[in-house]
Amino acid sequence: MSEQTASKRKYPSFYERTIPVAIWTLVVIIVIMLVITIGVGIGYFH
Amino acid sequence: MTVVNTLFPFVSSITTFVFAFFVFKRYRERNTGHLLLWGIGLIFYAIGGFCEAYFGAFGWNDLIYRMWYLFGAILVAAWMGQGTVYLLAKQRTAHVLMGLLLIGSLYGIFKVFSAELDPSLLTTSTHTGSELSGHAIVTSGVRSLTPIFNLYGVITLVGGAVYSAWIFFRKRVLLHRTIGNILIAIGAILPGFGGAFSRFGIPGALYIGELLGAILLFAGFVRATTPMKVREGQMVEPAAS
Repeated sequence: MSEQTASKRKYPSFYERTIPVAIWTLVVIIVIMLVITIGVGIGYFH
Repeated sequence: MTVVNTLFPFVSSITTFVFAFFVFKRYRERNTGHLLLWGIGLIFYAIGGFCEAYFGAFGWNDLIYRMWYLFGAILVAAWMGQGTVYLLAKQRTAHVLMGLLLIGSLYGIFKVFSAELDPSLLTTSTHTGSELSGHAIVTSGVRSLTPIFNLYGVITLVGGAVYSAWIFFRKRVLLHRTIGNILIAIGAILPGFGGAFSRFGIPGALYIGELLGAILLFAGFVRATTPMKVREGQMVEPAAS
């Protein structure tokens, strides 16, 4: 399958809508957690 | 003794032991390094949960506390994350990082087992000593190890899972792996959330976060390794051109 063909494939619509939201939400959370952990010393600090 | 500080970590421990069994089983079938490291990391997770449950049920024990701090607080995330490094990074890079992790882990073992402890200091935590925390460690230079290991763990394990999910999503292939990796990322981040809320003084937050994390990690692994039956016509193919 070529890259061009692959890029035109679609997941079922429910997943097309929800997966990007989930991924970007996780990215934001990771960044916030890292900032908090490094900056304030909580979360991953026992 | 409460349900939250005994039963929850006990269930976390059982869940991750069972999860580790399936990961090691898959490792025997496939012989890939990342599965071995995930399995080891999960055993660490299970030991941490067991120690928390033991403390909740029977109270202070010096060895149990040291094991909890070493496996549950310092090593678990980093070793699981190292598995993801072997999955995604070049082997040479993974080997170098593995070497550093081994050296760091040996240093951690030395520091934890040579540290001076004072169980009465647990009561200075926000939960009046009903849950395990690092407060009982008197010796300096021990508690400062946890953010280093755990930052490495969260970047590699959670970051790796998010990255994998994004790659599968971008190519619109293997939907089960996209979903599985998202669940793994959420599961891996939940204990960190629990730790954060625990530090803000919410009782049971760490143990609840660990339990939900264990369940979601397991669910994510099962989802990622079990192809989905996408019904004919659900997957939209490119229009003929």
